[in-house]
Amino acid sequence: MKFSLPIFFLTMVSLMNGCGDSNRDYGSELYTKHCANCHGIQGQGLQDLYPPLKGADYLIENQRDLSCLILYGIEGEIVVNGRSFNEKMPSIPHLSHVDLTNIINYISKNIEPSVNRVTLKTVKNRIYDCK
Amino acid sequence: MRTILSISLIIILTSCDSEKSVLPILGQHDYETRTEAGKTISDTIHYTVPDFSFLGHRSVEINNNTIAGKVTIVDFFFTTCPTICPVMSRNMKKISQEFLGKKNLAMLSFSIDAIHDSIPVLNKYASKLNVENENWHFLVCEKKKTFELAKGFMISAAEDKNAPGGLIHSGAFILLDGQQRIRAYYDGTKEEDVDKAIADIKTLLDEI
Repeated sequence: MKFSLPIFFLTMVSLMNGCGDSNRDYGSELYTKHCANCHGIQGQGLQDLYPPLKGADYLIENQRDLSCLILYGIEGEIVVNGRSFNEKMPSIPHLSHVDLTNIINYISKNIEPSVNRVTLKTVKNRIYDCK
Repeated sequence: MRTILSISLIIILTSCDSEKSVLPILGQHDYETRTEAGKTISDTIHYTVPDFSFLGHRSVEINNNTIAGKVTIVDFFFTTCPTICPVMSRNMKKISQEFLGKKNLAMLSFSIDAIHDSIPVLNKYASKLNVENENWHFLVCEKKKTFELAKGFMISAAEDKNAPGGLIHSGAFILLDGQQRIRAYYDGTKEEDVDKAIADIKTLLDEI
């Protein structure tokens, strides 16, 4: 069989396009699965049980630790916008660095714009720091 | 002229009740026959939920008498559930606020975690959820009885070591009429289902 370079490239391109769904919003999917149950689809929180994310001073002030907070959870009292919350936030140890990056960037874009976007490298470094 | 009037009247009469939905009575029906004036009459015996007697978060016993003659919406949950329960509580709260002050509607949230969810824990949970509706009760009883009761509501609730929180349960809201017959199930995690539940509660309240 004679090797044809154009056909090879066309095949590779079509295979690569089929590998992933470029329209999928992984950040939205991950947020809905892991965060929205308690914090709400719009980050509004749930009364005095679960704190809001939208407009939350705690989130904005602790955004540097966000990767670690999502990955390892929070236990004990925290104060958000002057209100006390004390429900345990479970860890989600199976989340990858990519997952964490997607979640934080979803929060930044859709929930609380004061949270800065992050790169995969930043998330990796922060997880390394808080280990 | 008379024909036009008759047709108009028919249209008006037939259109009156077209929007009103009738909720079915769910569960296995039974029949009972009796003889009256020499005739055999067959009566339908509808399924009703089992008897229960649980302690509520206000430290008051809540049982079938509490909900007798009332429309009741029921869910099964536990306070430390990390998955669907917060969504269910959010949606129960929506129903609770919609019918604030309506004494003919009772709301029962059965905890399936008798070990953790003591009365003070349930009380705190209700308080943090800012429950204003005095007809909404958070209930707890021993595990075995709660799981049995869930079966009586024809939903699942069980221990599962692999599940988050160690327990699994249905996310359903169950609607009962004043005779404690099951009239509908809703997915308590879906907003459109909750809106349907609110509409159906109004329909059942009209039946009382």
